Amino acid sequence: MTESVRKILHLDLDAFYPSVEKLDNPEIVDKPVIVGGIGPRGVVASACYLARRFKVHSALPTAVALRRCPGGVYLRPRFDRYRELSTEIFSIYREWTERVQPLSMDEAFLDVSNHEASGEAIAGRIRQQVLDATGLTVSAGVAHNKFLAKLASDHEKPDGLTVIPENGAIEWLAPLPVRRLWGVGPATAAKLEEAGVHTIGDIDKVEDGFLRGVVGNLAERLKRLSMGLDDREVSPPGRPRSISAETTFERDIRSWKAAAPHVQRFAERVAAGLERRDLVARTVVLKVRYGDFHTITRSSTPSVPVASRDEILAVARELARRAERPPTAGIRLIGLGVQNLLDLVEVGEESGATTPDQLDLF
Amino acid sequence: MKFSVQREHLENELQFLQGIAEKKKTIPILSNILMSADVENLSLVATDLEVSLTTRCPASVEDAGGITVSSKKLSEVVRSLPSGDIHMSSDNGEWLEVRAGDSYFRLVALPVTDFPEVPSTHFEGAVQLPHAIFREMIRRTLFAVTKEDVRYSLNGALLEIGDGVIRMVATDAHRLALVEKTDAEVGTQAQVRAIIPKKALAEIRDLGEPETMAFAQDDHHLYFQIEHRVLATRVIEGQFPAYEKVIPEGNPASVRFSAEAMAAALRRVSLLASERSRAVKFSFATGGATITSSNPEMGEARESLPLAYEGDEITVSFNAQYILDFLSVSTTDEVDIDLKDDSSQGLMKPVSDEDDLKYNYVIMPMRL
Repeated sequence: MTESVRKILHLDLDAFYPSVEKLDNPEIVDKPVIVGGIGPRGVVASACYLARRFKVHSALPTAVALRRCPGGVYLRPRFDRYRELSTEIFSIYREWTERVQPLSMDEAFLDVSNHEASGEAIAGRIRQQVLDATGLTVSAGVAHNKFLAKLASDHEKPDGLTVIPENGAIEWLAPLPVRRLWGVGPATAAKLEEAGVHTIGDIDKVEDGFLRGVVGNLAERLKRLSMGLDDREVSPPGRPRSISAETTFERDIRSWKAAAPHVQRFAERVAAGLERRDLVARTVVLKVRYGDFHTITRSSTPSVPVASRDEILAVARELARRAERPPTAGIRLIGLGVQNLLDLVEVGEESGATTPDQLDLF
Repeated sequence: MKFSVQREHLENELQFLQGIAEKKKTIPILSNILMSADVENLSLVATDLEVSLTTRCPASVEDAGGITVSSKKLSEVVRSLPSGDIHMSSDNGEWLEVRAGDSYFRLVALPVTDFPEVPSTHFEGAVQLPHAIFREMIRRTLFAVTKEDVRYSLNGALLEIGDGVIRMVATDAHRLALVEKTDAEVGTQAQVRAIIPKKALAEIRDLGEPETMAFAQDDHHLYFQIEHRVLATRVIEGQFPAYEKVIPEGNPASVRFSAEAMAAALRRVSLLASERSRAVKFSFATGGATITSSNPEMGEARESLPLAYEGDEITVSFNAQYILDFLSVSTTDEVDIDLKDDSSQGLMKPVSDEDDLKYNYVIMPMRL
């Protein structure tokens, strides 16, 4: 494949739910509009930009929002209506490319590399089309990969268009706080801050070994992201059903130790496949074919979906224990795969609603 | 080999063996049971390599011998026959012939020599353990064993015996059930700390209701003799988590409630909890509790439960199913839950310890 620069757009509808409400009811256009659970225990699903000035944001308990913004208009979500508009807007996106990866009702990645026109020009056209068709504004980020495109769309929200040029990515990223990196949550951010790594530029400056000491296996990915590198593809919903890797040995192997380097390699490959498509896996499958061609598969579905090489390996090790015969019986082929794939967003943010987190005893 | 047995005797034993024999066909011989006839007995064995059951039933034996046949097929055949004598025979070990009344069956057999050797022990001078107590302990812990988890050591319950104490602990890392019998007459010979697979626990519970069962162990196996049946189970290798450390002590708030009223309220409120998390939220305040659930796609539910609680208000979310699991095995009308805050473990226990069994159930909250 020839190395050509990709053109990736991240399109994010501005305050989607409240904007739809304002669209349908012009009387509230100039009012702070908050959509979410009403009642003493509801939470805010989305707040318009006026409401955000009162420090009202999604996931805030509605009771708190009411205190901060007593003059606001509080509405229950009308998901059917949002879905209807979302479908209309996504069909505009699909006029430009088949490679549309929806992240939620109001967010999507588009790969428009096939067009002659610049990413910026296409993003501008799409923004105008959405506005004309629905009256809604969409913020766009344009870059050569998903990570940068997503950062860019956030840069001048609402109603913004930001382009990160390929040769300007590092400068663009340098001043941003580390938590803006994909995969850095509050816990990792705290660790990095403590180690004196505050901005994305700081990550670029510190030694690899030092970074590894602070964040472990995440180091390599952070380093790459800090340099603006991200090769994940825009993957349209028809997501793969499974990702796997396997090999047949030239001569039967007779110990798990001999299999280990292969299994590690497969786990890496499978994890990379998941990461590229923003997926996580519920089920891990180990396949073993013995010297006599008798083949077994063992699968496990841990309580928490897996994504990283180490998580997949941990399950693979347990699966190996459940193999029918000891490896001394002679193993001809070994394979490792994942199934029951889920979108990362599906697991994580579930359309802005707060998913409770079951805490662990140990 | 040639013998006769009574249908009722054989059917009764086959039922237990069916629970052990492999349902999957990965290793065909493991779906079979081993039958050996000698003198006045038919001995029967099933194994899945982890858990094995050896039992017998009275038989009139003409020619001694052995054979292995599909546990499932044989059970179906025996169950279908009318009450009375069943005659079984085999000439060369390739077929098992079954005759009863006017019926005749010929079942494919596999060689006896292919059947795995099942671990065995002698029970001379073995420790006697109270079976009823064991049954009750299993009933109160089995549900908390993890369904399937990466952590191998959680796929069973921890059994500890020593110094007059029998203890069973099961956990799935989110909740933990611990049941303990003190002043048990277990002698000093029995010193056990082993993780027993889920399947073995269910068998120990179901294999009969004798007063006591004999217990023995070796390096990798535990043996239980229940009536004339012997269950051998491999112990699960691995480190069971340090359960002692997660049982909270001195939680400041203690709430007492009716098990029945709470279970009924939870069943209603959890109807609108998210199907995946089953999270419900409790707000305990002076005079009562409010239990709520909400699901952005479905709606909300709320119920008030009057309680004799006095103290600071505590709001905490739990998986409703975890609480219902406990309430369904707890034997007292009233139950206590001791709480600290919304992210520390809650401790549930029956108000009085029936049958001298000390029962603790620890659950971790969910964070919203």
